[in-house]
Formats: sequence, structure tokens, C-alpha cells
Amino acid sequence: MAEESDQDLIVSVRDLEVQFPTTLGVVQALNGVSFDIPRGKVVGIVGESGSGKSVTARSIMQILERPGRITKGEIKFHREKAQQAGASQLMEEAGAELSKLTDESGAVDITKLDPRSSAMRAIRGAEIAMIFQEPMTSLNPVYTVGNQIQEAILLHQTPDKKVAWDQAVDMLRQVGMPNPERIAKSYPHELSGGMRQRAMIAMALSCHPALLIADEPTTALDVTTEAQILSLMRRLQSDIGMSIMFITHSMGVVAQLCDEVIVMYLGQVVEYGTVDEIFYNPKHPYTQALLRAIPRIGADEHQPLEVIKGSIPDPYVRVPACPFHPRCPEFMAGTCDTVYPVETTFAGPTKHSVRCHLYPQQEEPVDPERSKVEV
Amino acid sequence: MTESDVQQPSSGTAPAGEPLLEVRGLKKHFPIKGGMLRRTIGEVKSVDGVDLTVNRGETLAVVGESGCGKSTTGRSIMRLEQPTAGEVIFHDRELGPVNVESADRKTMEKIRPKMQIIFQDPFASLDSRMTVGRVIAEPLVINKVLKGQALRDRVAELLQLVGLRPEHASRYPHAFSGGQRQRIGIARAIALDPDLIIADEPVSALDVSVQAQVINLLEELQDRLNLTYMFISHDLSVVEHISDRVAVMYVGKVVEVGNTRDLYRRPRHPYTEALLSALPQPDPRNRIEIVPLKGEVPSPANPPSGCYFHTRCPYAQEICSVEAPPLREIPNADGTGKHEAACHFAEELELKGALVPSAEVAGGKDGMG
Repeated sequence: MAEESDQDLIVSVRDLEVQFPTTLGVVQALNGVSFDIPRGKVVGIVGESGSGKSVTARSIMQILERPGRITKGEIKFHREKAQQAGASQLMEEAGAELSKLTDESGAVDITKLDPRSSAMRAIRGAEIAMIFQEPMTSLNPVYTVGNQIQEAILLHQTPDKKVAWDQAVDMLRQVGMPNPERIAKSYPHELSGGMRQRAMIAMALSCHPALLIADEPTTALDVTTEAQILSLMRRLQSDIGMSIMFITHSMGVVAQLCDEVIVMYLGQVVEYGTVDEIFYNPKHPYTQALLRAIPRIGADEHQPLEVIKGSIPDPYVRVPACPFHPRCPEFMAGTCDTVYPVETTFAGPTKHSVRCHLYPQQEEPVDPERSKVEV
Repeated sequence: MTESDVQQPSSGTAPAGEPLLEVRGLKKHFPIKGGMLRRTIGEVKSVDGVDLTVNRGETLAVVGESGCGKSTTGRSIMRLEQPTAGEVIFHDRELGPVNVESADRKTMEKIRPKMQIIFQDPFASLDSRMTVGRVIAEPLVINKVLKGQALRDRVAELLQLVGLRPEHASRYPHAFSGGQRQRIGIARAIALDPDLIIADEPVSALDVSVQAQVINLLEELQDRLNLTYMFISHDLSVVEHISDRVAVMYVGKVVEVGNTRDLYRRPRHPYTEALLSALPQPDPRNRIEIVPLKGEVPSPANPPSGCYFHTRCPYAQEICSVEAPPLREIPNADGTGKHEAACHFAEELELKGALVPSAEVAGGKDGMG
């Protein structure tokens, strides 16, 4: 494995745990999640419902829904640039606080910030932005689209309303809206699903974030609209050079858009690799099974699809040891159900790693520091 | 109905390939009310002249984007919506051809059990206050088919048929996962031993690993019970896997119908080509620069002139905005069956089919590691 300092990372998450204490019991939504997001890359997070993809994203934004809370771990966000001081009142307040919390490498531990603090509010939106699956729930129905984008710009960038409005219209133009001046004056209900998602993207990008978190942004859209949004995201990514964390359950979207892939299952990262490794050389039985379960064009039509037996367990039940062992075709009794698998990193130029007992840790740990943290 | 009917479904059924359902010029328009007197000021032409034939034993998929009228077509065939115009002819084994859209109450009572529907959302389509046993038994009770012990036995048998356990009958729907709930919906649909099942996006709400289980179950039941499916979906990968023929809908009309293989390899309508090219292929080495369709799906309340697709079609010419092309048979050299398209230039255009991902990708033999 390459030394971590070799690579320019934007976010490194270590051993993150998130719990939702409810009346029926504690739901362990994340159970020791660690991964890195390299700068300027599109990293896909795939997994089925309940795997913790959205909770991971919301933790980075510090917008976990109640009663969820981060109970352990750290989220290091490597800030790109200090925002212009004096751009707005918020930025002024946050500036001092943020510089105090920034360590020598220029990273801020997001878990240490209060979700309501001005420091977190300065990061949220301006440096890390997020778009959601259902644009209608994230747009305010009583304000025009232009107003809502303008608000974000006023909060983070400039106190001048006219400048902010022009910038909002320009953002709408950049995301390929026909007639952006008119759209800026429209209310969300006047736009179609694809247009609303474009408006959301315009809003998210209006402050030039270093990291964009996209939580299933195309799941609610039709294929032709999905194709439009994906090609838009690809274009914006190469133009602006921002990092994207793309959450999806569609293997097709991952294959088409992402550089690296994180596969999650029941609140844990089970495999990490480049998109090519994940599709052409998947290691974890879950990744392999997921890929085989999707119907693909040109396959033998009358062959039944391969299935993963059972279904995702109830969130209140904690599966001991490897979370996948009750459904795993490679299940080894006595090992998979008793010992929690450590992360094994494969030799090579990439950081392909997997958590599975089929791949025991090498004799000499490549990176003792890392494995100590993981175990 | 007896048990032997279920176990030997092929005995006494009409041979495959004969039409089971014929839809002719089906229209469903919804009025737009407005003004002080709530007068009708317009119409949403959800389904605007659909012709379809579903043959016995086959799976016909109906695909299209949201708002194209595919679900309304399914519901109008079931007469859950009264069609505005057109004919729906169901070929019953005993009654012969029956016009469903105008059948009287008595005939409907006989026909309804033969046509069943499975809904998309397994959380909305089951009554949460009824046990699973009652949900599945309801069609049998309403139609006075079985009662007492025979009814309980049948429910247990149906549960096993869809891969659940008989003791699940006493539980409530909330205790089941999405995939299991969809199995319950399927058990209810097959309870009366129907001929036709209209499956309206039955796997769209399910996770990938569970989706495959339900698709396999539907295919298995089709073989065992000699079912005919009309499979409504927007997922072109699932459709390719499950269907024998595909009908593509756009703004209330069928624009292309053909054999699945043929239609995916060589589409004859530019909209089908666009749909196929937009499909994100699960192969990172095969990244295609999609040229997305420009614009949006037109509103069915105010469709464009001529061919409804001309506003977005990359091949559109003058005639396309003037004259609406009818759905017509396209001569097919390959002999792969009847292929119909509604395009003025269906013969001339060389349209691209779906890309086929390379064989070794993703959990194939080389991918096992």
C-alpha cells in the first residue's frame, strides 16, 4: 500500500461509528468505517439499503438525523484554501475558530465540530456541498430557485445581492438550463424532475465546493434524464476539478462515472478499489455476488439470475464477526461467525483492500500503523 | 379450483403463441378541470391509442419513462380505470373472446380472477391490519372458491410456492422485508390461478440482491403455472432478461414493438435507440460518451404536432412535425418475428442497439479472484 501522505487526500475517515438509539434498541448504523477520498477523484459508494451509505455522507456534513450521533472515530477534512476573510459575517466568525482547529497538515476533524457552530456552517455548503435523491424535498417551495441559490452565495461569498443574483443565474447556465434568467425566477414546482436536480446541482456548486457529496442524485430520474445529469456531473467534475463522493446502488452508474469504489455492507466497508478492480477483479464474496445478481444486456436470457440468499438483516440485530457471514456463499464455520475480519490490502500500485477471511493478512503487515487502527 | 390444477397447469390449456389479450386503440384521457364552474378545459391524454397483443405464455414488457402511460395502460386493461375509448379483448378458456372494457358485472366477475396485478410498492399494496394469511386468502374468499380447512391449506401452499413458510400466514405485513412483501403480493396474485398477470414495476422498489430473487421467482412461477405476463418497467436491463417481446411507449403511444433480442440489437425507432444508449452499462472499460437526448418529455396534456418525438429526435425532418407516423410492420430480413415501429424513417435509419458488456466483467469466471 502506498503511504497515505503520498496521495493528496481531501477526506480521510477513520473508524467511524454512528448510533441511532431508539426505543426498540440501538441501531449501529456505522460500525468502524475507514476510507479516503483522493482529491479530484470521483469515489462511488455502493451498497444496498441499510448499508450506511447515506449515514456516512450525512456524518461528513454533520447533518445526521436525530437521534443519530457519531460515537467514535474521526473525519479529517483537508481544507483546500482558507476562504476569503470578510466575505460575509459568517465567514468572519468562523475564520478564527477554524484556524484554531486546523492541525499542521491543514486538516480539520469534522467530528470535533458542533453541527450548529459557525465553523461547521462555514464548511457546509461552501467547502463540502451535498445533493440529495429527491430534489423536491430539498428545495423550498415558497422561494424561487434563483433566490435559494442566491441565499447560499450571500451566506458564504459576497454581501452584494446583485452580484449574488448574477452568480446564481450564471450557475444555472453552467448546469445547462435553457433560459437561466427565467428559471431563476421560477418556483420549484414549475420545474420537471430533471430540471430540479439541475437546480440542486447549481445550488451545490454555487460556492465552488472542494467536495461534492451526491446521495443517489439520479435514482428518482428516468434513464434519459439520468444520462443527462451524469454527463453534466462528469463535465463539471473535469472543468472544476472538484472531488465527488457519489452514493448509489446502481452498479451501472458506478461503472460509468467513478474512479474508485467503496463497497459497503451493514455499516462497514467490505471492499475498496479502483473501478476496474471492483468490476474485473472483485475480491469480497458480497461484491462478487452483487455484480452477478444484476441482469446484464446480452447475457443468456433464460438463465436464472444468481441470487444472494436471504435478505439484509433487521437493523436492531447486530451480526457478530463478519456482517455478511449469514448470507455468504463462501462461509467458513468457526471463522467467519466468530472473528471479525481485518482489512487486507493487496500488493500493487493501487489501494485495493478487502475485509474477508478468504484473504488472510500477509505475514508482514505492509502498514502496521494502519492495521493497528483497524483491528 | 383443485390442487391438481396447480400442479399440472399445462393440461387443458391453449397452446402457447395464441393471443390471450388484444388491445385495440386503447385511450384513457383524464379531464383537466378549471375555472369557476369546474368545467373541463383540457385533457391529459395519458394513453392515446395503444395497440398491443399479448400471446399466451409469453412475457410482454412495456417500457418507457415516467408519464408515458405504461401504468395507466395496465390499469385500463384491468379496468381499474374505465378506458375512454378502444377495445380490450381477453380470450377466456371458457367464455371465448370477451370485451373487458364493456363487459357487464356478471362477466367481469368471471373474468377478473383470470387477470391479476402486482404493484410496485410492496409497502403500500398490502393492508397492514390484515395478517398475511388473510391478504392471500381474500381473493379466494371474495370469489367463494374455498373455505375452512381447504382455504387454509391453499394459503399454505401458495406461501410455499412463493418461497415463504406456511407459518408466516399468521404474521402481519410489517414483519416482512420488501422482498418478502413482494412475494406475498405475488402469492395473492396467483391465488385464483390466473392466466394473465400484469406486473407493474414489481422489482423497482427492491434492492439488487433481492430483486434477482423476485425475478427468478416470477420466471419459475411462469413455467410452473403457465402464466402470461405483461411486465411494466422502466429498467431496460431487467426487461431484457425477463421478456420475450418489448413494447416501447412514449407520451401515451406505442412507438415500437418487437422481439426482445431483435429490438435490443437493432432498434427501429430513434426513441428506443436513445433509451438503450442512455442505459448505464456495468462495465468501466466500456465507458460511452452518451449523447443525451435534448429537452424533456412533452406533457401528455399538450403533446407536440406530428410525431410526438420530433422535438427531441436527432433524425427529425420536416414531415415529422406535420404527420404522425402510424405503428406499422417493418420488413424484417432476419426472420426474428414481427417488428413494428412508428417512425417515418424506420427502414432507412441505421440505429444503434444496446452495447453488450464484455464477458469477463464482474464476477464472471475471471473475476472470481
